[in-house]
Amino acid sequence: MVSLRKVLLTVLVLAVVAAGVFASGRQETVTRELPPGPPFASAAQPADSGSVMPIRASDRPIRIAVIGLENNPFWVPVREGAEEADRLLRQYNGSVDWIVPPGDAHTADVFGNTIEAAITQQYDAIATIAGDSGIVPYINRAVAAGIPVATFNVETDAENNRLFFVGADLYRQGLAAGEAMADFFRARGNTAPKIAVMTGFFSVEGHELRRLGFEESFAAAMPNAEIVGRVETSDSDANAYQQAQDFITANPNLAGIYVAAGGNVGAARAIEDAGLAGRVFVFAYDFVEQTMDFVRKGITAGTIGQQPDAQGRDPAIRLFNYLVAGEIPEAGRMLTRSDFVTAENMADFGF
Amino acid sequence: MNTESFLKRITGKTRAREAGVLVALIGMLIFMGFASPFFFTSQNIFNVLRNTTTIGIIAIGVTMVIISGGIDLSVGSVMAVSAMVMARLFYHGFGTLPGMLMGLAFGAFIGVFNAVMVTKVKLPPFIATLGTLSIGRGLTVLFATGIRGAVASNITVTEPLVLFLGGGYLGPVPFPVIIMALLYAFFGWFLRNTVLGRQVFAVGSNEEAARLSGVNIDRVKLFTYTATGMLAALAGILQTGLLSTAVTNAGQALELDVIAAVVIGGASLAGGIGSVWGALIGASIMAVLRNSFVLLRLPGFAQTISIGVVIILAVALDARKNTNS
Repeated sequence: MVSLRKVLLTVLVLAVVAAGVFASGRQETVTRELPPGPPFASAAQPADSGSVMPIRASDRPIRIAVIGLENNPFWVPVREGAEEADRLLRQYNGSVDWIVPPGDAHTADVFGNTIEAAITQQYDAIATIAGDSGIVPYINRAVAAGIPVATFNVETDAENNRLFFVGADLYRQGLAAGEAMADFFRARGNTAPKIAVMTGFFSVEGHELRRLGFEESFAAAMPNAEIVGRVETSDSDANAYQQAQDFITANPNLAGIYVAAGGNVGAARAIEDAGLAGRVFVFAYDFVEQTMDFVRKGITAGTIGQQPDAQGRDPAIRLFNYLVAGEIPEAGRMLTRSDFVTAENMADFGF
Repeated sequence: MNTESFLKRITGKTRAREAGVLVALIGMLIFMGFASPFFFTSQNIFNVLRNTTTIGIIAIGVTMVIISGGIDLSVGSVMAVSAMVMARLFYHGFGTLPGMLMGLAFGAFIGVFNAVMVTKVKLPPFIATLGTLSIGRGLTVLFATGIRGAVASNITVTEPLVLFLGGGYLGPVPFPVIIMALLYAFFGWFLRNTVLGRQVFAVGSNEEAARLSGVNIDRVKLFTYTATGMLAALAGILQTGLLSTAVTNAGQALELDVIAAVVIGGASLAGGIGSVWGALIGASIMAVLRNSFVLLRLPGFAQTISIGVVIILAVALDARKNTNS
């Protein structure tokens, strides 16, 4: 009787041989040379952010994979942006597939396999989140196979062969938040406010960029202000609620809470429950429904957006234009707008 | 040695462990009383108590599971998915009570599923509940999907009863604290004074001996896992009421905090030893630690380190005590 071990060994050897044959076959099929893109670190805020249009129709069908996440409400408008790109490109002989990899994080272990699958499926272009440097070999492999890659939402600092990035400059967002908060308190006659700072995770680079940008510009604009503590919410509203309560208890004259990542709804709710609406204000990010409810109530003084719809839409259309017309984006980092939405101007943004 | 003296010995050992962590908690309270003028204000004390409730309520169930020799890693996901089921039903027009009951029932259902995997399929509890942790998280996203487009959304909850249960007060006392107190009173009594409660200890101490004594092992485990599922669901409903939102990331990594509270409270991961009161002390220590770091303006990363240090200290002291005895 053949032992299980021998059967497994045979299957393993066959699998390795088959993989070798297919892999060597694939390496011979480099499809096309791609024109070089803009310098990796160059940055610009394009005037057509969120409204870029296809230049002309393609002679052959162009299929673009947009690889995103769907684990929280932030992704609703991102997906809607990708779907809008699909509707537009179908009139120009193109199409967009919104693909969500199995997993719940921005990391390479989640996105790498899906990029490889997109290469295997012979997409003409790929747009992906690039949360850490582990994604670099996957991006470079796609580009080496003649498939241009754009990144969106977040990207690693590690240089790679992607064509361009679409998303917010998180450090600049932090700077904008610091200035907005300083203006807000100055307008209320408070030149020495006490502020608590909340971030999602100290270990997430993007959250830290927002926090550091905020602290830098806020300290410069309001030198007498005091930051009474810095905590991480783990992106949890429940944690933020508890921490906001603690800050309020320890600092009876607390004036504001800056929330660099998830947790602004919990912080705002704690202020409301403490009866401090109108005395303590939250400064937040993104346009999630519950956040906008607190903006409407005036507890959240304002929230800074990052054009999530453009993050889903623009990479696909710019990649299409690159393929059909050779149009190269004006910069490696195509920054989305950081609109500061308050109760006063929220109607202008469709809320 | 008869069963009575065996249980007495376990009870005595458990009380000694509780006393140790209670002294640690009192030490922390005294220190904080001197270190921060805000610590012993009634507002802060009630904040800390409220902040104990999520971990505290779930820790009751996890304590029973651990005493019976098991482990439940799925509680954070169960909490999230049960609350999301409730919120989703509200969204589709269900009444407040039916929606809440369905949320609780969903938590109980996952508890039953865990128990069946452990007792009938014979999966190790670690693996079975690791599986339901993942299933529960996926189901949370599934139930949250479709409110706005095809992506998971947090769901706003406006039902006054849910908001009161999670965020309301009875006098100066947050209502979740009252619910937690009632649950501790009941389960503290239940574990010591009912046959099923004492069988939980017997199964965890020596499953084979308990079986030979006529204890229905499967029934005991079915009870511990189901109760844990329901308690996790209740914690999820209360948190939803507090935030007026069912969130997709509720309870993420909460299972580790709950297990830490139970272990700090003196439960043995080997089974047979532990008490719900110890778990309450453990949950309180963690809540006081978190509160202290904000009040004392200490860096946030130190909080995470300190919780790890407390867990190691608690278990190391416990192991040393066992060796000496």
